[in-house]
Amino acid sequence: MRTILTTVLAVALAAGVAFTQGKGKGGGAPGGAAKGKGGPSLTLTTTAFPDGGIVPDKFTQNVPMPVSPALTWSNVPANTQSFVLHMHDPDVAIGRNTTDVIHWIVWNIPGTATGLPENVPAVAQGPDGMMQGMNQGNVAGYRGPGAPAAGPPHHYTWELFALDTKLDLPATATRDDVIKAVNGHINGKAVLVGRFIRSN
Amino acid sequence: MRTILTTVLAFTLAAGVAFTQDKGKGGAPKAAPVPGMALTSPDFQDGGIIPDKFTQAVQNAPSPKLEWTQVPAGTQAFTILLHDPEPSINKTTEDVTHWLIFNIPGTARELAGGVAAGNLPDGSVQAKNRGNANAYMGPGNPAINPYHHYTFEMFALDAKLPLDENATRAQVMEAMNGHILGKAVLVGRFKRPQ
Repeated sequence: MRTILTTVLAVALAAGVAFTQGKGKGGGAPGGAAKGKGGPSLTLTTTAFPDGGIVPDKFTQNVPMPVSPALTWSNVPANTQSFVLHMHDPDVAIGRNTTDVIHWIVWNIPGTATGLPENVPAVAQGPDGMMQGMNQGNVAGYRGPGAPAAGPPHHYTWELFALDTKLDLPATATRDDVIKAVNGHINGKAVLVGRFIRSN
Repeated sequence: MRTILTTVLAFTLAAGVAFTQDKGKGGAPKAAPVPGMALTSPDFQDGGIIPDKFTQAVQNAPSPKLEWTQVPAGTQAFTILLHDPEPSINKTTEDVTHWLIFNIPGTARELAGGVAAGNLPDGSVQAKNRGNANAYMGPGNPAINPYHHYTFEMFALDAKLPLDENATRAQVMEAMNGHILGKAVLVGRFKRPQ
């Protein structure tokens, strides 16, 4: 009886894992492996605003010198060597194309890091080797949300990639260069969304 | 005098457009702010939680109703892409396609809930989702995970796309380039109840 029960449980568990991977994790994601062990996937959070909620003014173009919000991540996949952080505004189609607005692109954040502090300085290279590429305003660093007051609110999307390697890219690398370089190296991914429109 | 005034006005307008674009929109002059295209659903709040009935928490989940306003002039067709940006398929930046419907007539201002699979009578075409069906696939993020961010992206186009239901997502994206008059986004979060 115990054997049968165990077998049933094992089959059910295996089916559950297969179903889960087929439906949403896309097969090859290492998150699938972690899931088999029962762990949640990479998680990105901030105390600056609720996920899906409104980004407060101090982080936006409502003020002259917006600062980046503090970010924290957990459930980091094994063998993570570095992180990439990409913040973009998907509500805009630049030049009638599918290119959207890049607000922040950071790479080679050390794999031991568990977050970024508030107000990351706008420098191309940090002391820990972290690199910041150009945003839409041609500045190496964070660019606050600036959707027009006429609305609707835009959906500022922070994407965190856990990588199995560091990226060998120059300080002049573009967002496209970074996104191309991470392909084949993503151990896990997490997303955070904040909405915003200007007050005037 | 009139020439000078006209010149000043032209400069002001041009500067306004440049400023507006730099800030991240599509080119609405600051003097007369026009709202951008907006995509909403009566079934869930933007940034909020998608109810179970539209997800893999139930069998054969219907698509939520979608409505849109502030459509750009000259719009001939719409494309709607629903994707889950959290997964990285095969360690790449490819994410999960839940729904891709294009050649929605430019006169449409809503999609009723529970869109049927396959090509629609009004000419709308549905490409394959991650589950290999030409239809909507509801959110299915496992309960153990953080919320995933199911992102509805709507594109207003100046032309219909010369593609059929066998088109891949990459082909649809490529075909839209140069034709996007406006874009709107709606985000719903979800993880399974168990």
